[in-house]
Amino acid sequence: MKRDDAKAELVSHMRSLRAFALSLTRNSAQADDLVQDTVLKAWTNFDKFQEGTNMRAWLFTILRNTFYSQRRKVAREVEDGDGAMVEKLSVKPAHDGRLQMNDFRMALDTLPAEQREVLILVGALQYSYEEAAEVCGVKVGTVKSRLNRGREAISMAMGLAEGEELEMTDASTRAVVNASRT
Amino acid sequence: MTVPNRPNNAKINAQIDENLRRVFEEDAATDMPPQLLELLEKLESVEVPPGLGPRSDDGEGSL
Repeated sequence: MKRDDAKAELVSHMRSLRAFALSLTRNSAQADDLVQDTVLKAWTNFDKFQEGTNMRAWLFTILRNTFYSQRRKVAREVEDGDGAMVEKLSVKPAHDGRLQMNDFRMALDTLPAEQREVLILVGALQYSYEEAAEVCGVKVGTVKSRLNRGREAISMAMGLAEGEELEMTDASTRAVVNASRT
Repeated sequence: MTVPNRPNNAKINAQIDENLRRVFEEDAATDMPPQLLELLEKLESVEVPPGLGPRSDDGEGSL
């Protein structure tokens, strides 16, 4: 693969790379640094990329491996990217009764990165279980398990229970409804 | 422990997936920061380890 072609395709994946990095780091500055590291690694290791295969998946693999490698290095530091850890305590109430993207984002942020990446790959990008397993370097069963746990956690955080309709209410309303049931 | 994919769960999962797509698309739609644009501009000047550069035999990029 020619360098010019490689660069052109790399550039075409930059926005997806950054969105994937944001889903892992939940912090724009860290995401930008992560994308930069990923691009540099990819650029200097393009000989390892098999032409004709999925470059975006290859880049995602580099990115998530870099993310987890860096995270292990700073494992002893307390992370609180953009206040995300604080938000783990609860989902803030929204101000209307419909599904709120802010609520959803906060629910997503409470999940472990291992679940978030699978949710993004399979849920958002429609990767197959096998493709997601390859990107994440885990077994297909692990992907399914993380996906189910992630979806279940979001359902719980958003107040969705089995048998409920999909009209997602805000936390304040849920509190009132739940109180009236007891 | 995994959660069985009951019919109602399937509806909820579809809603969750739709929102995951929206989250990803919103994040992907944000402007690229100058730091990354500058990196792309200078990418050709990044030193590639020996053996990974253009082939000397045919002049093609060897990636």
